[in-house]
Amino acid sequence: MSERAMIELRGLSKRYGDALAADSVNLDIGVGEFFSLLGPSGCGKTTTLRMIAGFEEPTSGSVTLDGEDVTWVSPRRRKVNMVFQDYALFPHMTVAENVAFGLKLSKVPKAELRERVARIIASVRLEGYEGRRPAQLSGGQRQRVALARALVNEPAALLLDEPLGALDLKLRKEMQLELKAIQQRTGTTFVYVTHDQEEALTMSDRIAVMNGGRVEQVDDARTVYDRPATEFVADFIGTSNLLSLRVDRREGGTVAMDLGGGMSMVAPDPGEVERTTISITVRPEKVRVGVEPGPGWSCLRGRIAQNVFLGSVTQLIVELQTGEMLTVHELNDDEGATRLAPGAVVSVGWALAHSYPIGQGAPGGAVGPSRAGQAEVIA
Amino acid sequence: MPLRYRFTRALPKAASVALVAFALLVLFGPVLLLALFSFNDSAIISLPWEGFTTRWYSEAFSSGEALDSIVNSLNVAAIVTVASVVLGSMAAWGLTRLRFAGRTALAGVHGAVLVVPWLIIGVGGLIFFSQIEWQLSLTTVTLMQIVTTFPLVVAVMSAALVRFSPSLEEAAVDLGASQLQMLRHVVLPQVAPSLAASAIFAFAWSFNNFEISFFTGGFQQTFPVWVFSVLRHSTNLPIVNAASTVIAGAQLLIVFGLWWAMKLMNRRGGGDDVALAEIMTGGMR
Repeated sequence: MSERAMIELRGLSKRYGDALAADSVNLDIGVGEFFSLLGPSGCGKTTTLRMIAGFEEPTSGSVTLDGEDVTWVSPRRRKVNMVFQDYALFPHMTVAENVAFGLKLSKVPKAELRERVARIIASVRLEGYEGRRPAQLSGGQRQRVALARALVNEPAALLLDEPLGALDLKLRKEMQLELKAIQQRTGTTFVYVTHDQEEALTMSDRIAVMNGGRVEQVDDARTVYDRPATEFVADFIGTSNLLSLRVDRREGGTVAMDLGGGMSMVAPDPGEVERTTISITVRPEKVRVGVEPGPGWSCLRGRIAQNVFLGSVTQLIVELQTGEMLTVHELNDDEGATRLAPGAVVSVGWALAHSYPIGQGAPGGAVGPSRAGQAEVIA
Repeated sequence: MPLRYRFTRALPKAASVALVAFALLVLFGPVLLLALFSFNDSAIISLPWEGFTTRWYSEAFSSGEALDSIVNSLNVAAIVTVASVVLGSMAAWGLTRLRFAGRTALAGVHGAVLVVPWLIIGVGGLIFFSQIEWQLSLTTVTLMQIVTTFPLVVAVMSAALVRFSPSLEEAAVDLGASQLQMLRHVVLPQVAPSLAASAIFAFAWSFNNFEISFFTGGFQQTFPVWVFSVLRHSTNLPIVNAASTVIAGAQLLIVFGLWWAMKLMNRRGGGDDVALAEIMTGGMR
């Protein structure tokens, strides 16, 4: 990633009747970056992508592509290409004809056209399929044709609208890695729309989490996962526990909630003295079962409510003494977790660093950590 | 497998074959019978068989009226087909791709024309043309037939365009195609079978139409009107019979030819036979 932005979105909004599909979206997407727009359906991610492509006209705001304002430029004149959710391959053309479509329209000389088509078909591993029609290809192969058809034009940025949605799980995982490899090989800026948080975490350099038309957080995968800026992000990315912590004590940069019998819940002090209750998130895989109370650790009593075998991990739902439900993922490296039957009383705990306070309620609190994170990554 | 089970399993298939055979017999039996009797050496269509003859055919086509009416019908049908396919495709494009107030109402009006009896449309046309004092002629017949035929094309082409994924159009534009290039390279090859189907239907509707041609026609007759006029004398029956057999045979050949052409186009377009069946029934939905 470089400091120069390939795509700049400034105050980009789209209104359909009374509904705001996109609400003043501000994003800087760097040259050669794999950037994901992540969110549930209806969060405005596809609308935002289509405004970059030029298929939707923004109600307000601007789109800058490679330093040029393209807000009102027709999609055919924008140096971006799109991979559609349904691939949108031309059914009456062969694989080679599909791939060559853009080059033919821009009147690329025949020899160069043949050379570029052959090169891109090789790079998506479709040699030998040039003469086939889309109907004769598998889902994964169609996906690769769609990719080749867009990439052969050497776009300034490639826009992908949930391109793996129609594939089965195994193929999707393979294609995720392949997409990432192709992106790194070509150095093309990818803007990737998905509702699948795992997909976004796997591939992206940075992720913008969207909700209700707004960008909630822009950060790299690790930060979005470990340091969610808002409750929505915490809830949407992976399985997460959202717990409320009553501030009983403040000491040495931590806040603590005393629960009696040596039990307590601790978290780093978010520094807002006036707040008496804060929200924290705890990732299920950070929680240990059967820990002893100790300094720098949260330790609570709870009762196992549910025990579900998930393959590599066992998922325990623990009803805490505070009345809240805590999801715990125990690695199945021994028989320990599977023996914890519902009803069993256990102690659970996690290290201080794994209690992550969420900037809730405070003015600008939601934006604070995300801005900081963004600056960090760009620098 | 016990015989009883084999029998109960075969029953539905046998029943459906019998049903189709019966339907075909009722539909085409009389037509085939008439075609057969057009070679009978008798003015009365009944047994006994009086001997083989082709004289009805030579009589039919030696009368200038029969030939003239066929030529008239062909001319009218050709113009109606071209005009309906062009107008109908354009209307279908607008109705499926543009968003404007009153779009559904306008689509409804197109559909309504298909269910109003031709008799009423024919009489309506007659009153209209006499009100504006237009001389009835083949021109008025052609105009009225375009009015009734192009909504059929709208129905067939709308079905095709609705099935056609808009993302294909977006993909073409995204790859740098102008609207015209998009239509030429992406949309047209995809909807070609539907265009052919529209043409077949439009031609058949126009050629076979009696009511509208009868009411809005002048001295020049179309073929169905000629048939009607000569049938008033029962002695002419074998002549009509012979001429109709020739026309029906020719139509059958044309439709089959176009059907094969469509199949070929559809294959080229990457579609299967199911898609083709959908195109053919698109106008019926």
